[in-house]
This record gives sequence, C-alpha cells and structure tokens, in this order.
Amino acid sequence: MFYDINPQSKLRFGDIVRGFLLTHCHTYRPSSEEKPDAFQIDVTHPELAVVLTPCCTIAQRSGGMLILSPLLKIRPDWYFENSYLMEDFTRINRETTIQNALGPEIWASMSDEQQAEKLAQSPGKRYMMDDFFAYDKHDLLAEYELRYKEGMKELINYYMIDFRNICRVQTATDNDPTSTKRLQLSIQARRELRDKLAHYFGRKPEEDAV
Amino acid sequence: MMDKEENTLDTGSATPGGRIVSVDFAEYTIKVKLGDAGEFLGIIEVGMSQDFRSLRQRVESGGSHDISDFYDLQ
Repeated sequence: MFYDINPQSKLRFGDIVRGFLLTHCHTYRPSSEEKPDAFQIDVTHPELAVVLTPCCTIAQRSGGMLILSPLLKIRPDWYFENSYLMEDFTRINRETTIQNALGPEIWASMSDEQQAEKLAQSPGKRYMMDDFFAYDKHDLLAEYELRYKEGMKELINYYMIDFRNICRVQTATDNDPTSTKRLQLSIQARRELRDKLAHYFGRKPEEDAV
Repeated sequence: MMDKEENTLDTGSATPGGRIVSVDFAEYTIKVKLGDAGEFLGIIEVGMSQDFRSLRQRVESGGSHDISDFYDLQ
C-alpha cells in the first residue's frame, strides 16, 4: 500500500499538496561583485507538489517554511522500454538487480559477455535512477496520456519527483497549510522516500572513499 | 501489489499446475498459491520484507546501477 488510507490532518514528509507557488532562480554568471550580474527568477504554479521537509522539522513549526518538489509526469521511455517498470513504476524507489534496472528487453538483447560485464560492474541489488522517486497511481491523481514511439500510448497516473528540483516556500506562520494536503504516504512508502533521499545525498565519490 | 511470480512446476514432477504469487502487504511479503484458473489455494509463506540494515548501512551499501547508456536520466 503506497498511500495511507487514514491520513493525518497535519503535514507529513512525502505528502502530496497543492496550491503552492515555486520559484527557480537562474544565476547565469555567479559574481563576487556587490551588484549581481543578470539573473532570472521563474515562478511556477504546479498543480501538485511533494513535501520534503522531514516530519520532525514540520512538527517544530519551522517558521512556516516548507521544502517542496513539484510532482512531475513520468518519462515515457523509462516506462515503455522496461516491462519491469511497466508492471509497477514505483520499483524505481527500491533497490533491485541490474537485470531489472535495465529491463528484461534490454537484458535479453545483450550478449553473454555484455551481461557478465554488467553483473561484474553492478552486482547485487542497488538503486536505479538516483535522482527520482515515483508516486503510485491513485484515484485522486489525474490521468494523463503517456506517448512513445510508434503509437505506443497509455493513460496512466503515475507521477514522480526529481530530487534536483527542490524549492523552499515560506507560508504565513499563522496559516495552516494542512488544507492543501491531498495524499499521505504509507509508513512503508515514506521510509522508501527517506531512504532514497538519504542515498541521493549520501553517495560518496570514488576519490573520497577511504 | 503483485511483485513476483514463480512457476511451481518442476521438470518430471507430477504436481498439479499452479503458481505462487508474492504479495507485499505493509512490511510483510505473503506468498499465495493460486490454481490454474487463478483461484486462491492457500498461503504458502509469510515473511517480513523489512530491510533490517541501519540507515548508515543502507547509505553506505554501495552505489547504484549505471543505466545511462540505455536511458536518458537528465
């Protein structure tokens, strides 16, 4: 079960919410001068977004500040090229084998040598698509048509967030943003989001390995 | 949510057909035996799907699968 069937009234980490404006600032040439060089601030109003503020920080009221990431449509090539993900797109949230990560179709198209090389490079279960976390289908999430080459299309309501696309939002401290809440993750799904986000920030570059 | 199917027929076995389906339910994984027509025949096994590694162990457990040769991840 991906969503909690008895959501709490307060906001939780991983909740889907609506009604927030998100901003994205382009700093084309970072400058140490007192006056910044040309810049641009984009303001968007996504239909839905995901709360990435940890529950404990929300509980401490954090001055009306929330960290949000817009809920995005999934990528058609990831979906249609990999039948393992077509069965359940939320599988990108969990560690799996290289065979599943590539998908049965791509795996079958590889020679024995290529498969052996991949298995040696990438043994065991690991995360795939590090920057992304999928949100499962739900009746409250609008369906959209996912199109791919040669007339492949399907109405689906899987969504995802991109950890590289995170925004701080300030709400009035006397405002209760819980009315904006649409869906709450189950404990299991929230744990998966926490773990994958920790993995995303916890990856260690080779040169730092001791 | 169905996650995995296993064919229970072994070579040379006279065991009737059927399949075992793994179903994730909360922190449990339940193996259910279904008949040829998909009818429920029984529960084979109940296991915990919880990962008992600590957060530090999970974060340090290793990298991730590089599939960028096959998928556009940008």
